[in-house]
Amino acid sequence: MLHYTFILTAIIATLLTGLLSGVLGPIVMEKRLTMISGGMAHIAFGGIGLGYYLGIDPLLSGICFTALVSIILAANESRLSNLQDGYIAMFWALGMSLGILFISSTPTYTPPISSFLFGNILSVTRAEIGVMGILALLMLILFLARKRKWELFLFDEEYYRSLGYSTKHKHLILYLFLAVSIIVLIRMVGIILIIALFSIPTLTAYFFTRSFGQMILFSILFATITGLVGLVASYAFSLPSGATMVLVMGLFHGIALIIERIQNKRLRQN
Amino acid sequence: MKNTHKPLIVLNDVSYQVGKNRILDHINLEVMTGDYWGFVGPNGAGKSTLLKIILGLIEPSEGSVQLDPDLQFGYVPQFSSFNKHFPVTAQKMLLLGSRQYIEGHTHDSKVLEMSDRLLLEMDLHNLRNQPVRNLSGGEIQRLLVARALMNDANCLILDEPTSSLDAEYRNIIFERLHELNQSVTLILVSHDLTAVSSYVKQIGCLNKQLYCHSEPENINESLEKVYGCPVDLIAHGFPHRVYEKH
Repeated sequence: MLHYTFILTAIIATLLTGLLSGVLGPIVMEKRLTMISGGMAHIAFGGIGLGYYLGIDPLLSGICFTALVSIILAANESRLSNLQDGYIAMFWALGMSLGILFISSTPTYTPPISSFLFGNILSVTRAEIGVMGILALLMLILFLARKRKWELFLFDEEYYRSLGYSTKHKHLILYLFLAVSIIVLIRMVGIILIIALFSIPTLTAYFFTRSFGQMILFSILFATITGLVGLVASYAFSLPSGATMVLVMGLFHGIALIIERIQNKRLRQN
Repeated sequence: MKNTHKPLIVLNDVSYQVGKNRILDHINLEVMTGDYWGFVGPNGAGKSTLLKIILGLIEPSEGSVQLDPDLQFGYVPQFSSFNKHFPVTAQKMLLLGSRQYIEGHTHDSKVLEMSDRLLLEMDLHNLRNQPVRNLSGGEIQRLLVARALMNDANCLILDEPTSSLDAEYRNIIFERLHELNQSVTLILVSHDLTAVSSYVKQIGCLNKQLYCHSEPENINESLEKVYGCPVDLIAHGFPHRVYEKH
């Protein structure tokens, strides 16, 4: 299977997906942004649809559109906090509606909507791989260079601010990274399943970690392994890749949950 | 520490409101170097908001706050304010509380030494490698106080620092704060009126307006005004309505 270029591309894409979602997942979970990331994925669909309608690169239009909404969300973060749930639902539906309208109004050929909803890792292009690579590298540099600051920001934002640090840029950086990552990850598992990438590997890692660094490392590991197992299984059994990857992640989480329960039981008995 | 009559914090006619809801109403306050303030008042009186305005976490809607340029805050937030499920050990929580550790300006061993000393002082050293999520409310509260001491602060701001503590640890914390007041200015908010009135030098009775800022001995009359009913401070250890047949 490695003889096929598209399979090799898919493997590289899976590794980069593991890296991106493994680093972003713990941050998303600790900042309780899981539902926002789901909302952003649907907003992104509006941007992708706009790209097809205007005849420009849908990846570029999707990034611009989602980044714009992210900046608006980040700028109004504290003002919207009480109504966040409602606003997420609103953007969720508006993004989806715009995407459907733009794609259905496009006179030229557009891929079927199901390919956006459920993704297809085997159709990932080299350009997308390039964007993912650059993004993963930038994210690693950014978080590792200021790891302690990020840790405190995620753990106790109020105390972080009491030390005189501003949180405005942190929110903006976080939302922008999330927006761009979501656009490139839509190709992997699709709009509907994207929140699985930010939640399941992180939740699995949470059982086995005592520090945030460990949680990111384990999260990358789980996301990468489950992604690769899902990719092989989808190829071997001719299953949709995105859905298979997410189900494998769920299966691993179930196994981790059982292991953790057994460990806890033993600890209590001792 | 003797009051040196050097104003450390000055609040000039500070008000704060969210929409039409007035949370603080024309507060004037001068905190001098060496003061030990205890702010009391019912729920929703604006006590935590006042602290956040002093810390600069919230901008006042009206009025101004003047801070001494040498002021270094140490902050003990309310127990509910941070993410308790975050994967961090007790010792790492203290390290992350240190500006020097975060910025990487000093060798980690110095900060580590300081955190060890504070963990011992708060009777938490045996729990230093435990994840914070496994600690009890009282243990976390002692950690929060220890963390505020990681930055050589000259003014500690404490929001309900003893709300989850039993009597023994509450007294340990108040004794430690009393000692700290030799070199550090203290401002705290608490529902624990008995403890507050036995330790602090100045009491502020707050219910949107600041009703009084007198010495603790003269406090009963002002408390009645703040709580809107007679308040018995001593008999049961907490403020409550006093009816005729009580």
